[in-house]
Amino acid sequence: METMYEAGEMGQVCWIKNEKGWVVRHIQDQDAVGQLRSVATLDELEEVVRWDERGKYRPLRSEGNLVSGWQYDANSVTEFREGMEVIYPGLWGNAEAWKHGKLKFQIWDDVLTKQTERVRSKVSQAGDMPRRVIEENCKKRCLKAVLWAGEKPADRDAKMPMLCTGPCGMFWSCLEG
Amino acid sequence: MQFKDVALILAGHGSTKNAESSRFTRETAHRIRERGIFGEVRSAFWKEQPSYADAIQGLGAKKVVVVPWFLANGYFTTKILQREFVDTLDVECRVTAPIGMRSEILSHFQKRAERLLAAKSWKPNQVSLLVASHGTPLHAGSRVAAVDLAEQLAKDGYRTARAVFLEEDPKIADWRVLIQEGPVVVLPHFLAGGLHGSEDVPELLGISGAGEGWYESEKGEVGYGEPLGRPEEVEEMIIELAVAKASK
Repeated sequence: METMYEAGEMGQVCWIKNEKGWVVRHIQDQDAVGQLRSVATLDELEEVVRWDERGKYRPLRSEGNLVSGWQYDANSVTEFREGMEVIYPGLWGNAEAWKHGKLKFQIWDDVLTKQTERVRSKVSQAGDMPRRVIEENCKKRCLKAVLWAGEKPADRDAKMPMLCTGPCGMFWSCLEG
Repeated sequence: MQFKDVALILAGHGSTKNAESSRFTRETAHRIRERGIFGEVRSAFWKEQPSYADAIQGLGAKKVVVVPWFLANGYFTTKILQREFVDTLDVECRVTAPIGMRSEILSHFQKRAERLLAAKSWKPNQVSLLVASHGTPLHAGSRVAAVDLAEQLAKDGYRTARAVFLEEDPKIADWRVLIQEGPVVVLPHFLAGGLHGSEDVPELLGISGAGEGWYESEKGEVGYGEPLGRPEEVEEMIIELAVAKASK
């Protein structure tokens, strides 16, 4: 696991550790030289990941529409982890837990019991809509493997897996139309 | 004072539609992290990433203090957060009161009203005041917090001070029925950045903007206050809530 801190990929970003610290970029910019916008703070990084290339809000940070053209320089491993937390919130921790066999994820029946009566009633009337949302929304838009729907992450040691542990706000938003 | 073995989570609502909804929560988390009081600081959301469950799984600390980024002891604070942040074998979770239940909130609302009055050189007895809140049939807490706040503000001498709601009676949309004449100061009991405070309430009032200031609506003159929640306003309150819980 520790080797992932030296160099690696997660979703659409890659990083490498050099003598000054960590350099985090979009994978499309992996080999770019001196032409990337420097992102110095976590608040600036938040602005980068908040919008897509057309300036539209990205509520789903794990969607495959992260803009390129920037570089975040982290001076310490803590700054690096916090940067990854901004880009893919919660997902580094999930990946570590997965690799240690400790990741907890939900199952559909438990998910439903946590919803209000209004949502449960809507779901019961929705037929195969939840399955369609998973196929059309989760699997096509989002880079995470939908563990709670039986999907498994691709087995690539060099890449940190992106793992979905339960239906997110976007899932419910799509389900409710 | 340091709590290096404690992780702090700011638990907000978030939105799949509004980019501003989580901005201040995330910024406040970054500010508090830089102060080095807690071992880890995270924000987590019901509608955005990270989810409450994912925020917990990624922590190294075994002790977590959760500060609800909410204004009332309502449905989310007393039901959802209590359910989502339970102790596990690995992690002990403690949920504080929501930031809106801090006593300083009253003075933040008073300052907004005072700024609006000063802009017109008016005294409290020349205007009416409304606290515009959410309210929900699911839980009485949201209503109680707004009504209590309005009662406190009434002591400052306004012609009248009442709470009005999006989802309960009396409704925000009926403000001119409740206050039949004269200028009205409306203080949104919503956290900054959300759609309710920045779009829904101004629309129901019939005013053209959501920034702090006076507006002419078809039904009369409305002074609209800025929603609460800028990092510089809430940072200390959050730290005090978390430190008190972490110290126990």
